[in-house]
Amino acid sequence: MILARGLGKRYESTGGGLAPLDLEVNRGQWLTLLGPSGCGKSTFLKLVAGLEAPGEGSVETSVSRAKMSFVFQEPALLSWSTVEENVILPLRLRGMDRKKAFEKAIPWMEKLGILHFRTSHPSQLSGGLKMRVSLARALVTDPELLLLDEPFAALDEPVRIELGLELRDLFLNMKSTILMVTHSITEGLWLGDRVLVFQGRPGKVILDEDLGLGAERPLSLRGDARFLSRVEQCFDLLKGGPA
Amino acid sequence: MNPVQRLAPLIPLVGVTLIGEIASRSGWLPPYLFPSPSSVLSTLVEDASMYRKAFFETVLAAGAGLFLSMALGLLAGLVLAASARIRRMFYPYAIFFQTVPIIAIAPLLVIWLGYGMPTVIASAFIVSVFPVIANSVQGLTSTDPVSLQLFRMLDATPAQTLFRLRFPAAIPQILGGFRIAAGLSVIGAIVGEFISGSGLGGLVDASRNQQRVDRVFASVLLAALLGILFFYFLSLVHPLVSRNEKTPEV
Repeated sequence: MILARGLGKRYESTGGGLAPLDLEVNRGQWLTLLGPSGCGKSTFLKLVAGLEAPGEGSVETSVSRAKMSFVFQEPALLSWSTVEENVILPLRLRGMDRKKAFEKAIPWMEKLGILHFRTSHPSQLSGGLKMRVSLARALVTDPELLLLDEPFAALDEPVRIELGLELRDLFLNMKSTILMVTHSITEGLWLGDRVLVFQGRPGKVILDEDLGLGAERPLSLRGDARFLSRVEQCFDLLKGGPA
Repeated sequence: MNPVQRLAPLIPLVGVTLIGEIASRSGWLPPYLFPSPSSVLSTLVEDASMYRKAFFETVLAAGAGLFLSMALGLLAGLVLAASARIRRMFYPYAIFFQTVPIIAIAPLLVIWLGYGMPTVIASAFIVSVFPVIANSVQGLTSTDPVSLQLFRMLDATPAQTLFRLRFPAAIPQILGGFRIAAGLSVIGAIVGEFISGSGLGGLVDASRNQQRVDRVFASVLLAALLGILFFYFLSLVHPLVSRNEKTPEV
């Protein structure tokens, strides 16, 4: 699915970026990327997406750009367009006619609970609803690879949990691959199948592990002793690194 | 706003008019320097057809100049926003329009374009085009970088990125430029008319030569009114194109 060989990118101005990395990601996996700011997590996502060119090494994906979706930390919605126009944007840019695009978008808007707001403008929505619109826009193209760059960072804890549960559910049904960058250890481990912990500037992977927590992720898992010991392990690894 | 608040701006106007009238009638202010408001009003009524003709000449010239500024200024903005290299090459020349002393080059315009409407339109255009260019460039080059990345991710063509993202995102700033240009186009037209002798500007100049201060005041009053009308006309358009960002959350 994704094959990185010696993939790296350094930013001279900040000293941050990604140290050469070898990595293979299989189809159908939810990969969580944890680490402090500036350690190359987002850079890795952008390299996979082709939004940035590698400084060294290479990355190959078996998925075309059309089958990838990127969800940014900010919802990046078009303020002059309605919710439904925002959701169908990727389809419209690919030349699909409006009616067909709406038909395709309706089930996604329904699943994400924004169908009721379809004619609203982004300025009328709360942060959580805006992120739902952003997710619907990413999912409407039936992506095989979903790249999430701190998608829940700006949201309240209850909304994060709610969206996390829904996204995990959708992930299991879609059989796509997800790469998610997050600063929340609990959230990352709760939702992911495999965790990568980055440390240093430029960032190196110091932990790459399958979590083995099963497919279903009820909220109660977050109180499970085995889960908590994983959280502690990651916390210990991240502790003391550069802020 | 209740009706009393709405009428608040009129209070100073009525006050100043009353004081002007009293000062003029009592002889404190010589009428050859400050005509009484009533005499300004009476010339406006008596010579209504002359003012109407001049007013519409200025409306036409300033309107045409403003239209040219909006169309060509926006076009220039689109071209300049297309690449940093083009901006570096041509932007200094756009600034020329802001710094050019129109009063000094208006006689040149007469030499090139003759005494008539083209000179006045050119003058209105030269004075008002810069804010349109500057605001368009500013708006088109300050698009949210995350949205630009999103469009790259969606494999949008440059034209799609321009018309579906950069241009709509820049509309509030472009309209801001139009509004500034509206007021300036009237100033430019009046200056052009000083030289070419038509419209309200021509009337101001002729009245000054005839020592008719009341007519000078009446013409200036109409010119100011025209500027306000242009400005408000474009303010009305604004909410129609850019939707209110401050609507309450659902």
